[in-house]
Amino acid sequence: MSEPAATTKLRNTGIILSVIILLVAVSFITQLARAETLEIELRIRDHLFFPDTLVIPANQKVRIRIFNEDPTPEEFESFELNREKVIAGNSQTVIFIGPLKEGEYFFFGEFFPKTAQGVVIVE
Amino acid sequence: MFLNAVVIVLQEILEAALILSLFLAFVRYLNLENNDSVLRRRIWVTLSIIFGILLAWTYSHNFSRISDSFDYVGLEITNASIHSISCFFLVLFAWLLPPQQLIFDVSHRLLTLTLCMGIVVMLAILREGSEIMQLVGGILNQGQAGPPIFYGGVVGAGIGVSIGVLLYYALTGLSRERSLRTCVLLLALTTGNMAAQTILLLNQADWLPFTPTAWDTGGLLSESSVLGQLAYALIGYEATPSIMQVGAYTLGLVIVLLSPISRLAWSTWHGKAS
Repeated sequence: MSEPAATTKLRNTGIILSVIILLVAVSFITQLARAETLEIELRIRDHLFFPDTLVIPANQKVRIRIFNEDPTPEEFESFELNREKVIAGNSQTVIFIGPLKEGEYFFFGEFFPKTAQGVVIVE
Repeated sequence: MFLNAVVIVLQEILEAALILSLFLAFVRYLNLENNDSVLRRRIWVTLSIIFGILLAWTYSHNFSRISDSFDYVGLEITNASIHSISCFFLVLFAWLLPPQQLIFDVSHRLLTLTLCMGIVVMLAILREGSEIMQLVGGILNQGQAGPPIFYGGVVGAGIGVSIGVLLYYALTGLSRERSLRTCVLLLALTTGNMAAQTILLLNQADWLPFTPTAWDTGGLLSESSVLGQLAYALIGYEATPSIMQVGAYTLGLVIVLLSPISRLAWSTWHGKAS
């Protein structure tokens, strides 16, 4: 059941070509997705969030880059956003949220919940 | 700081304590007819706790490095991996669990069962322990609020362990059949919970696409309430889960709930063979 060498070669070329096309398509889509993501910054200082109100558009994926400027760790937590992440002292991190519907989504710092409070307003 | 530390440590300890209690109840079920000789519980429990704490220490020691990896979503990726590995061993445990009357014929399988339990408990302690170490270590380094955090942690851990002990006695107080059924149900809920957590973490890291919220039961049972928190720790309650989370939860739940099929098939086959 051996096939002619030319057919095998043609088939292999076809497979390689389609893999390349697929890879290009995937990377293109990933780039597109990246471009659509909005980035906003949030800082933690003296166990407070700056700014404590983040206004973002509806139906938009957002990358929140959090800078913890305190020497103590903090945990970004939000029941409404279903997000929870520990941020070490003097470091930064990233949390993706959305796309979200219009509304208010509260968040707080679980390690210092009395002071570290904020809200994401989607409009 | 005191009350805060109580709540955080309680939340973390509770999850690990519940898993451990559940497994100990299984062990007791397996041991009932065998004079406690089938599974020596002390060894694997002690070992998995020690290894869990060692791993948690390593994790929190390299916390920043892990956190910065994968373009700052390293924590999500690591935790999602830990959760999915736990899921795998929970499912394996459920399907390998032998019918009680056949335990003597499958002593070779008990090692695998013990390994499953050990790994899941170890990973639970790794997950929860590293977070406690992060909180305690980070704040103690500042030289402030040491005693309140320490005592808060001790109280939180005490309450968590107590709830675990209560669950163990509640489970073992039931009749044998009912106890096994409840244990399998709790095992299924734990598996579903972990599967859903994996999805949530990968969503948070943007490694999985967004899916809309399946429902909102926030009005019925708020996640921030005490009952909501308990339900979160026990069965992974979320007021607003995404469709993909619900799917993963259901899948994990169903796979474990179907595991009695293996015991049934086993008994039947064994009955024919002998």
